[in-house]
Amino acid sequence: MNILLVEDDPIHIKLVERALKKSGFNNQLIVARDGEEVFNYLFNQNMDQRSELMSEEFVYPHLILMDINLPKINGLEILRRIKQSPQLQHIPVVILTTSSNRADLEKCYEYHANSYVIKPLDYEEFNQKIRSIEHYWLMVNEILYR
Amino acid sequence: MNLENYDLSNVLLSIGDGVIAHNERWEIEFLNQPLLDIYGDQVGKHCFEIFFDRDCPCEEGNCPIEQIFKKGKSSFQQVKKDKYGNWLEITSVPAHPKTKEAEQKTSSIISLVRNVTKRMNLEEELRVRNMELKLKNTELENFVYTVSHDLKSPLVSLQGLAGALLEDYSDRLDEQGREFLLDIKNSVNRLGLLVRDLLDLSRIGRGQNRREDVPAKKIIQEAIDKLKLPLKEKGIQLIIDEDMPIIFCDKEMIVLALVNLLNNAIKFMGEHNEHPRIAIGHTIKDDYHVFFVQDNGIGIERKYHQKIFDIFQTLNEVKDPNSTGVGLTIVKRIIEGHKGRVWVESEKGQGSTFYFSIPIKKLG
Repeated sequence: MNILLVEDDPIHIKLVERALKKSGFNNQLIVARDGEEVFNYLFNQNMDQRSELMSEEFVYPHLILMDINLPKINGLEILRRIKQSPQLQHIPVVILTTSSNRADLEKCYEYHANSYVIKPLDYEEFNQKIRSIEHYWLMVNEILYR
Repeated sequence: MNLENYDLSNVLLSIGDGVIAHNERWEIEFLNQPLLDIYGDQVGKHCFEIFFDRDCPCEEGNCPIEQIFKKGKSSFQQVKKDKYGNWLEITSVPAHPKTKEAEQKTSSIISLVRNVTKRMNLEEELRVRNMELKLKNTELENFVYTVSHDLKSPLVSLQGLAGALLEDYSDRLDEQGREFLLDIKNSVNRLGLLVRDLLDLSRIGRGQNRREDVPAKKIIQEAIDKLKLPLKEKGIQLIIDEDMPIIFCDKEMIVLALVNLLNNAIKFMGEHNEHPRIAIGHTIKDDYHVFFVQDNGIGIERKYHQKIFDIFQTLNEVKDPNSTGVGLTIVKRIIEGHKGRVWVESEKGQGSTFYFSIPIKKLG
């Protein structure tokens, strides 16, 4: 599964990497540190070579894990643009947030986030969410290629 | 005594406040000494000219002649700034003619003019101070919000890293190393709770939520759901009144208040309590819904009953790492924000009952 992680804090990136590794996933992780990198990656894939993790052959991510407090472009705005794009709106977006405030979380859903995980990550919960998304893609593939 | 039998003109002349009579053509007929001292002898001139430096009568709503003669009011009071910047409180009444000859003449109005500049200035100052204070308060709340919000990210890093160290590297540390690491983890967790509580506290002040009618049952259920784990861990029996009203409130906030009260009850249950029990109930007193959270825990000495609601106050008897000293302050701020009150009845060793009241919504 290809995962796009949108996160600016290097330690939080490390912790997500660890959580994914611990959950036993064999994923390709692409990291974008702000909105510009996300848009460069998703919208003009061939124009920018900044992201060192960018694969040679572009594949849309199966999952976007995204922080909300990001430099340059706010996470909710990135979310809005992704969910308005016909090419991208089907990609599940899981918000990673430090806030457990209900109003903040409801706002994510207003912008059509698919789920959220509160930081610090609870491995079991995180694991479950990733597995359910993996399962979703398996189902999609099965339906498409049956 | 019938006042009409007395000639009161002496009273009008010698009274400390200003007295003025004018007719319905706005012409001044009489001024007493205090007004003469300020405005000079202006008999025959227009009131609006002399007092307010205008070349036409004041607006309808501000003119006693309009209000009394045209609208038929029996008296009229207003506060207005004169041409010298004095605030005047002017009370006007119709002047009843006493003699036949007088009746032939045009009707008049007598006004009592009091200089209230000092009072108005004080009120104005108070208004400005109040505004400044409100602004400062908002500023402070925003500051607390920003600070606690910005603290969260490094805090989450610390929590995650300490957890990762404990899980991945425990076997490579000696006992003291592991102990230190655990201490770090506990301290960081405590810091996390503190930041969470401070954020909650600053959110109350920012209060952006709508008020609505909410069944109290729903609020209680949500609060209990949030505390399922600690309630289960301590084996606490919950007793909840069947009859619960619908209350008009900011639901999120009342849930938060109740969570904090329940949390408090759980924390102070006492270590050797064999039948830990919390009861939640409701009564009506005067125009208020009164809710209570009653526990059979360690209780609180009377001398602390006020103090516990102050910020960062914790009871020393229980060294609970999860106590931040903010919980009851949150409760107090939320309930007072709803124009209610929160108080406690308790004796040491006898359990505690925390009450909070919410005004009953008036129909219409």
